[in-house]
Amino acid sequence: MIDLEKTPTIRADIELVRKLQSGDFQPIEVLMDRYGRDLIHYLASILNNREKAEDVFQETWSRVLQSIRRFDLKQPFGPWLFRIARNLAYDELRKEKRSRSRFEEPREEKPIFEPSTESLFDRRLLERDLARELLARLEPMYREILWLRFFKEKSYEEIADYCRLPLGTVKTRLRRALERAGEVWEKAVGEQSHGRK
Amino acid sequence: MAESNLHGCQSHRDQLIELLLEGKQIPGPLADHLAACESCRSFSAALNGLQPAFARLDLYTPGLKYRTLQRLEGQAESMDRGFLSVMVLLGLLSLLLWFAIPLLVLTRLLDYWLVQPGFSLLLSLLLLTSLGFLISCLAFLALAHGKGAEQLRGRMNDLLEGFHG
Repeated sequence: MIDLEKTPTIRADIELVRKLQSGDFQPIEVLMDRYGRDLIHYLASILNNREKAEDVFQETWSRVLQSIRRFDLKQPFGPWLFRIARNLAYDELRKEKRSRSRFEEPREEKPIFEPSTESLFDRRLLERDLARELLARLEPMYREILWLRFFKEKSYEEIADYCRLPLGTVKTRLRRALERAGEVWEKAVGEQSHGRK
Repeated sequence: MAESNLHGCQSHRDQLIELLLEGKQIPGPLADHLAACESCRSFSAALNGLQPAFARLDLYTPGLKYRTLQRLEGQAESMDRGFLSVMVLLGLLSLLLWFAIPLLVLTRLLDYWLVQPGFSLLLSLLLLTSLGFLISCLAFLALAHGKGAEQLRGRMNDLLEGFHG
């Protein structure tokens, strides 16, 4: 459990949120500067699409404004904000899946993490290129948890708070994400070596 | 060749995943294996490269912030309008209530009311509508010049001017 009194950022957030709740909208910019960068990257890690991530980013702040009066000041603002964003991002993915199943014409979109068309062995890959390919091929929920753990270096407890998941599920999902990354990597390697035979 | 390596190296890869989860250093025997096995080295590099891959993202641009603030400004205005609509609705409802109460009371008390109901209704309506209109005007003025609305408009204008500038 996060101790609100011991965290200066959380205390500062509470002040800003209190102002927002009283009808002063000035703090929204401060909160956006504080959380915006992480938020858009978090959304990008789930959606793997810049335009969609930006749409959901805007929608998230809009929802914040709509529901700020209902926000419980005993809770930290960050996880609340990220949960709103997370719900919207997964709604977006579900919408996308539905429209795909209805054979609708897909929008022309450029993913953020894009698999390379070049062979894994035919070029000298840098570490980051390999990782980028892994991310391109991973499922959103695994990209999301890897981002929280290995980029934001969140503890298991914090991830559980952000994703509203039991601690055990966080650990299992993280392990599964890395295993899945391994599987994806092996599959890619297998495809390449098969192609070379 | 790659296929046989994949099967033979599975335990090393499981160990790599375990170490990454626990945030521990690679021990000697595994390090020796990585030095000798190109495939596992590449696998390790891919997992360890996840962080740099995320770090290269830079999607929080001034443009995104500006567009978001612009949208929020519009939303705040529509929230104001929504609030005004609710106020007007409430005003009308209270007006009806005001109208209904004297109508009921006067109907019971005054004979005149019963003799000339049409005229009495019109008179009550005019009187109460004027009163309701006056109160609505005062409420509107209070909202339009309220501290919160003023602050919001001023701040949003500053922000937009800053970006245009």
